[in-house]
Amino acid sequence: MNCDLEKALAPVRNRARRDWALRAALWGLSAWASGTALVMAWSKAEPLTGPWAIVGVMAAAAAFGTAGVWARRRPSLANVARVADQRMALDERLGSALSLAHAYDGTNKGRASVAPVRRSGSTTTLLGRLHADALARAEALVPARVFPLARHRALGAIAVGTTAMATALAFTPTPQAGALARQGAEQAAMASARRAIRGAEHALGARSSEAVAARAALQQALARLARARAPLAGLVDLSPLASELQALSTSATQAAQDQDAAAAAAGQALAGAPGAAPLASALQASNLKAAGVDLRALASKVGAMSPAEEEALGAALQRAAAAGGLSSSSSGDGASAGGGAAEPGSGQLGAALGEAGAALAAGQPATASRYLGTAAAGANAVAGATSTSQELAAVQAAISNAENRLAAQAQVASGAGSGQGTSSRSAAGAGGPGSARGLGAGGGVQPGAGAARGEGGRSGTGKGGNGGEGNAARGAGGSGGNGGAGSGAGSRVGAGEPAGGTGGAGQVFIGGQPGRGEEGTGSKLATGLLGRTTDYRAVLPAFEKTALEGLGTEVVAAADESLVRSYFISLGQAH
Amino acid sequence: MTPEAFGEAAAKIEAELRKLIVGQDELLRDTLVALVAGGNVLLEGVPGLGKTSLVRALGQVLDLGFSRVQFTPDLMPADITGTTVIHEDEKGRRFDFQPGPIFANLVLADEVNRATPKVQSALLEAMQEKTVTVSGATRPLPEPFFVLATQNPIELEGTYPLPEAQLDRFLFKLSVPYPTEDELAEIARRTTGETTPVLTPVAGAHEVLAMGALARAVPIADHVLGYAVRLVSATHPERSALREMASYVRYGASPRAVQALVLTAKVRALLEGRYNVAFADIRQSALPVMRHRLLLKFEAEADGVSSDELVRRLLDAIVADPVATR
Repeated sequence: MNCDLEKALAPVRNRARRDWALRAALWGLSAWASGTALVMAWSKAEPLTGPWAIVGVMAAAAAFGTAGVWARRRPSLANVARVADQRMALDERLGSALSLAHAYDGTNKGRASVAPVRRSGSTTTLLGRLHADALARAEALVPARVFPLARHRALGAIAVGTTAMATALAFTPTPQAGALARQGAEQAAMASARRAIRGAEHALGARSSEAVAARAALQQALARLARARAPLAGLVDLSPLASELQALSTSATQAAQDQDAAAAAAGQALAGAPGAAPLASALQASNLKAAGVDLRALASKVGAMSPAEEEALGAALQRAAAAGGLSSSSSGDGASAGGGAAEPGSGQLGAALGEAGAALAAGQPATASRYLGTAAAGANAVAGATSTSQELAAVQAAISNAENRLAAQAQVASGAGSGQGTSSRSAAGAGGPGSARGLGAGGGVQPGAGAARGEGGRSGTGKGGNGGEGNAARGAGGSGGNGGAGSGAGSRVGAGEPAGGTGGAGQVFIGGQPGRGEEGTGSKLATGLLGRTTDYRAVLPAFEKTALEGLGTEVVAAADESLVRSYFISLGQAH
Repeated sequence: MTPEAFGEAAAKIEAELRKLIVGQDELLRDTLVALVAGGNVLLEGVPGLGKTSLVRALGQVLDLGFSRVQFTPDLMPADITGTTVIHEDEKGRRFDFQPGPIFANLVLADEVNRATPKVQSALLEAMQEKTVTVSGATRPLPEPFFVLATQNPIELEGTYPLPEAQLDRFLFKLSVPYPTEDELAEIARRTTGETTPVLTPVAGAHEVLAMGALARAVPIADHVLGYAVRLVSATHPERSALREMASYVRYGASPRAVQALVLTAKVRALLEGRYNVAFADIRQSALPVMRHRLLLKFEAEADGVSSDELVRRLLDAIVADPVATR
C-alpha cells in the first residue's frame, strides 16, 4: 500500500522524529533547568535538605517526561506529510495521497463505509495522477528544509539560558553551607555522645550498687540527650551525669580502699598461722581472688591438722575476722567499718572466717572446712565487686570524652552563630567594664550549714546544707551575684571577670560574693540591657567545668569537692 | 474527459470571455467554477458593471441555449415557466404546453429581486430539481441548466428581497466589483471602436457536463474535508467559538454550504492542475459560498458588519490544519 510513497517520505519522517526528539529534549532541559534554578535559588535563601537530591529527582522526571511525551506524540507518517505540505507549499498533495491510499490501492482498509464503494474511471485516473504527483514531490523533498534546525532557535535559547542560570546558581557560594556543615557536625557530636553513653553502659559489668546506680544514671542521661537538639543542650544534659558518676566512683573507690585495708589487716592476722601462709600473702596483697583459691585449699587441709594446729589456726582466723573488720557483726546491713558501702561478699567473708575459727577452736574441723568454703565464695564475691571502681573510672573517662567533644562543638556553634565566645577562664577580680553582649555568671559557694534559699542577682540558687551562690550579672560593668544563705568562712568557686569590652567576647564567669545569710533575695541587677538573655542552663556546664578545674587551687579547696559536685547535681536535677 | 482536456476547455472558455470582459478575473473564474459545478449564481453589483454582458457572453461561448428574463413587478410565474395554450389544427383543438424562457441551458434572471415572491418562488423547483411543474405535469429542464441572476444592491425601492430558501439554492453569490482605471480605459477602447469583439463557441453542453463529472471525481482527503466542515459549522452561533458569530449571526450556513464548498473546491483543484483538493481551494470558495447563507442579526446591521467581513474573520480564526501548525 503506497509503499513507494512511504519509502519516499521515510527520510522526512526520520528527520521529523529527530526534530521532535530535539524539541522534546529542549523542552525537558528547559523545564529541568528552570526547576534546578528555582531549587538553587531557594537553597540560597534558606537551608534546604538535599537540594542536589531534588535536582536529581527532577532530572529523572524530566527525562522520563520527555521520553514519554516523545513516544506519545512522535509524528506519524501522515502528520509528517501534512507538515511537509504546509511548509513546502505542496497544497496538501502528500497528505491527500497518503490519506487516500486506501482508495488508490483498492483496499479501502480502515474505513467504515456505509455504502458500497463505487469508483468511476475518472476517480481511478485522478487517484493515480495524485499518487504519481505526490511521489514525485516527496522524492524531491529535502528533509532538512522541511524540518530545519533553525526553528528551534527560540527554544534552544531558552534552554541554554535556563541551564546557564541554574549552573551559575549552583556554583554560587551558599550562605547556608557553613550552617549546614555545622549542623551536621553537631549531629555527629550528639550521636557520638550517645554512642559513648551506650558503650559505657554496656561496659559496666559489675553488679554492685554503684554499678546499678551508674547504669540508671547513664540511661537517664541517654534519655535526656535524645531530646537535646544541640551540643550545648546535650552538654547541659550530661552535666548531672558526670557529677553522679563521680559520686558513685568516689563511693566505690572508698569501699574498695576500705576492703583492701581490711584484707591487709586480715592477712596480717593470719600471718604465721599453720597452713595459712599463702592465704595471708594473698590477703595482704589485696588479691581476694587468690585468697578465695587459698581458702579452698585451706579448707581441704584442716582435716589433716593436729589439734594444736587447728587451735592456732582457729585463733588466727578469729583475729583475722576481727582485725580486718570482716567480722560477722558488720555483715547485717552491708556497711563496712569504714563507713563506706560494703560489698555484699565482704560480710559473708568475715562471718565465714569467724565461724571457721570458732569451729576449729571447738575441735570441729569438718565444720570449719565448710565455713572456709563459704569464706572462699565470699572472697570471690568481694573480688568481683572491687572491679566496680575501675569500671566507673572507665565510664567517667568515656563520658568526659563525649563531653569534651560536645563542648568543642558547642563552642564552635556559639562562636559562629552569635559572635559570642565562651570564656572558661577563671580569675579573681571585681566587676569591670564589660561588653554589652557579655553575659556574667558568678557563683559563690561556701561550706557550712545553712538552710536558706538564696537568690543572686539573677537566678542564683542556694542549696540547703551547703551553701549559696549567686550568678548572672550581665551587660556592661556587671557584677557578680551575691551568695545565698550560708555561714562560715568559705572559698569562692568559679571566680570570673567580665569579658573585655570588645565585641564578641562571650560568656564569662564572675565571682560571687560570700553570702551573709540574710541577703536571700534580690540583690543587684546590673545595668546595661543591650545584650540578649541566655538561659542559665546554657552556661551551667562550662561553669561546672570551671569550678571543677578550680578544685585544689587557692580558690576552692580540694576538700570542698563533694560540696561542689552536689551543688551542680542539684542544679542539674532542678532543670 | 481527462484532466488535461478539462484544463484546456477551461482555458479556452476563459480566454474567449476575456475578449469581451475586461478585468474581473476573480468574477470570471468564480462564474466558470459555478457553471462546471452545476450551480446557480447570483451576481450582485451596481448597474453598468457588465453583469448582463458576462452572462450573455457565457451563453455565446458555451454554445448553450440562452434565454433572458427581465424581472419586473408585474411578471407572472407563467411568463417564466410557460403555460398550456389551446392549439387548433386539422385534428381538432387540444392543449399544448408552451415552454417559457426557463427551458434553456443558461437563464439570465436579470434584476431578480424586482419580481414578486410569487414569481421568485417559481424558480425554486427549477434551480434545485432542474424540473418545472405546470398544470400537474413535471417537465425536465435541459442539461446543463444554470440560472444566473443579477440584482442591484442600491435601488431597493420596489424590490422584493429574495427569501432565504431561494438564496440557499444559489451556489455562489458573486459581487461584481467596479473596474479599475486601467480596466475602464480598456473597456472604452474595446467598445467604442469600429469593431466589436465577436465571441465564438468553444464548448458545448457535452463538454460542460463532462467537466462537471470529472470535477466530482476529484478526491478530497479527510483532513481537507474536515476543514470545510469546521468552517461551515463555525458559522452557527451555538456551535462557534467565535464571539462575532454569536453576536451577529442569527442562523448559520446550511449543509448546502458544505456541498458547495467541496464541489467548487474540486473544480478549482482541476483548474489549478491539481488532482486533490487543497485548503486554498476551500478558502477561495468560502466567501461566495457563505456570504448569502448567513442570516445576520440586527446588531450586525447596526454595527455595520457585513456577512463578507464575518466570513473573512472566520477564515482568519479557523486553522486549516492543526496538525501541521503545532
